[in-house]
Amino acid sequence: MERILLELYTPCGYRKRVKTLAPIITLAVALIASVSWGHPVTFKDGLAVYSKHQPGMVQLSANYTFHRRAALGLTHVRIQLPKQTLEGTVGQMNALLYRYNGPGSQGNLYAWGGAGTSWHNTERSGATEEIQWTPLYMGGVQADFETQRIYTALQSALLVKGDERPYWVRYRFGIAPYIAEYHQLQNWFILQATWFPEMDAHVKFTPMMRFFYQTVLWEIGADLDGRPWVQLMAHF
Amino acid sequence: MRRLLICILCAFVSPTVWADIPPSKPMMPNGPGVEAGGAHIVITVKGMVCAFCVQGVEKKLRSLPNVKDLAINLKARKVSLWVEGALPPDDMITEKIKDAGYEVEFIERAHQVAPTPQSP
Repeated sequence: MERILLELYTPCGYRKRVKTLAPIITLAVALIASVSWGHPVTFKDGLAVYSKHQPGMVQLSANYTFHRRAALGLTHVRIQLPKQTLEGTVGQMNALLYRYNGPGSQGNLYAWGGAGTSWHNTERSGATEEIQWTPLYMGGVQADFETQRIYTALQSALLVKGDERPYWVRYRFGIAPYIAEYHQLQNWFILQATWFPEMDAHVKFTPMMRFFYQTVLWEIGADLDGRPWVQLMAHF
Repeated sequence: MRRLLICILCAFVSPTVWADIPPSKPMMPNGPGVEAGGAHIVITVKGMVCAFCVQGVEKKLRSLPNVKDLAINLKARKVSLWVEGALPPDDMITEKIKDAGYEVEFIERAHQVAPTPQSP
């Protein structure tokens, strides 16, 4: 299997690979609109945009919180599995099932689900290309708890495309070395454990750093095999 | 293992470099805008633990009527509102905090300035 170090979605690169306009429009919508490993539901009328990049997997998401407990989202995902590349876009509903607001702490239980389509190009006899569309479904749950000093989260998600049903479970634990105000940069040291049986037989550990500045968050890390992890997130 | 050690070293070094970029907006007891007839309201918010939380709370509270200025102390989980004119009632403030996803712990109307007598 070809090993990809880092995939970055750019309009140019994407057009060269896919050679159609529809996915470019979808990608543009996903970039403008996008969900999060952070908060699938933000605040009423809030917009969250994020992208995740790691070898063999790219996710671009957006969500709009129309109610204090619900958001509409759009996610574009590309996962390189051993046998095929799964790529598609889904519209989804994110729900905040439960929130605990404590003095100095917060806990959440989220769930989301949605449907969309995946596609791949097939070559007919001759030079004509045809896009094959297949229904794609996505679902997941996330539980998290955080204070100003510690952060922990457990997430599981599933994609369904015909007989392919890749799923993953991620657990994170983070520590903030200091408490920053809103106008200061906040750092977090995070250790992430990922079990993604379709991609790796074993649990992968990824130490990373999270930087938080006002409404923008970015994470940079690498797993113990040196494969990078990058996540960007912004709230509006 | 060497990569892990380098990552941990970078993690410990970077906060000292970046920690204090711009100064925080101070929580002044009298506020920048307390004038005749104005008031200073302090709200303690449950669940507000991160910068994203602050953003939601700030956006919602700024939409309250007559709010002239606002400052948030994330460490203390307190929001200071400087209001001119009619004060927003507690239930309106509570609803805005709920829309942001959090809960009100206390609302203190900490400072009320009496109107200056009008000269004839």
